[in-house]
Amino acid sequence: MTAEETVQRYGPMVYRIALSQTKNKEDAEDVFQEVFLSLIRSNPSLESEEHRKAWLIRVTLNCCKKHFRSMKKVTIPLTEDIPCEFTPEEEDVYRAVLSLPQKYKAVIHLFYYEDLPVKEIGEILDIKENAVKTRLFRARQMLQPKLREMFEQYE
Amino acid sequence: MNSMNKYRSAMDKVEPPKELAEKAIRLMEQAQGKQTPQPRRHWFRPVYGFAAAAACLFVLLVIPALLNNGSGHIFITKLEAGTHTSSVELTDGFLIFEEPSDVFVSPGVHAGKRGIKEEWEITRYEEYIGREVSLPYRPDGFSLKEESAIVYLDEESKVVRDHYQARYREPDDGELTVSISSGALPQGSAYDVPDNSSIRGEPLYAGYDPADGRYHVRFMREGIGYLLEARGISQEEFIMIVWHFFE
Repeated sequence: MTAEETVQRYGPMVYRIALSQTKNKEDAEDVFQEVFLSLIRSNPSLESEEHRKAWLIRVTLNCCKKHFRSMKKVTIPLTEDIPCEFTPEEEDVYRAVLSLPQKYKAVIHLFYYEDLPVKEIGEILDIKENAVKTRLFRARQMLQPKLREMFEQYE
Repeated sequence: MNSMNKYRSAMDKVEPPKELAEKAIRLMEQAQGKQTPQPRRHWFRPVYGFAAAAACLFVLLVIPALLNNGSGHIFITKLEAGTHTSSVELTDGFLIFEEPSDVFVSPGVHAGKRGIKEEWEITRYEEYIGREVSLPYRPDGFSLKEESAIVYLDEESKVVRDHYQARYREPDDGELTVSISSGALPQGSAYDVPDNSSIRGEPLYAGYDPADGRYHVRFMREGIGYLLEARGISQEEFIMIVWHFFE
């Protein structure tokens, strides 16, 4: 697969994960470039497209973590960083998910957006299936009051 | 949760900027060696320019092609499957695998009293040390078989020592053990030998026991001690695992 094909196929996935983790476009763009350069530099032996996808997800999350470790803590208001035209409901849910701690956001995104099964999420994150289920459970618990409050506005 | 459909539809609208994708493709192609030709510098006399270009091409393309085994851009030394090389040069470091047999039987550090032992959930341990303990690069076929996080507390319930260990196995009997401790090298590390290797300017110790083909690397990084041990694994795969800790 050429560089162009790789970026076209996996670019949106990498960017969305990076954006959901970093919460702002500039950091997501840094992570995006770092991930695809890592793919070339480390040249991992990937037997299938499934492996390539899993590798990219894992490296994206690792790059985000590394990014957080290296950056100074600067709070960027989320209002300035809505990346495109959302409906009010979409914006509320987007904000609620992005306000979760990173490890919970990751499982929510991989489960609800990438449609990955719990087992595969566990393999990607190198955690046990039960740990994935626990994180999903806690994430839903954290989201419920926020979402309930938000959706009451629209009723 | 129906509201997650809204998250899905929101995320569907998120696309990487076109310029970003183009820049990433350009950087990837450059990293692959497909650099676009640079404009000639007018002050440079053509004959010298040609000679310099030929020399650069030789250094950039021919020498790496001769030395690289084709298995990854991190290796300069050619590694052969099924054999062990005591000194390995990487594009951004080097590893010298020492073979003294006694370094692997180091008893470890038992500083003071052990305190009260507790086994923690991995997520709690990760929160305590401030990072996740997962392998940054896991070779194909290896899966996590067991892991544990043990801490020792003093009378005031403060952690005085901690130790995380994970065992990965692969069907052909390959085994990889990762040990982590905060603030000190994990128990079982080769303490009594100086660092002999370097990756990206950071020091580490590398060892190899020919008796059972076991690799051993230990290092401190950002206040965390790491010990990686493996057997039944190729030298190349082991180095790839180690190298990814320094990414």
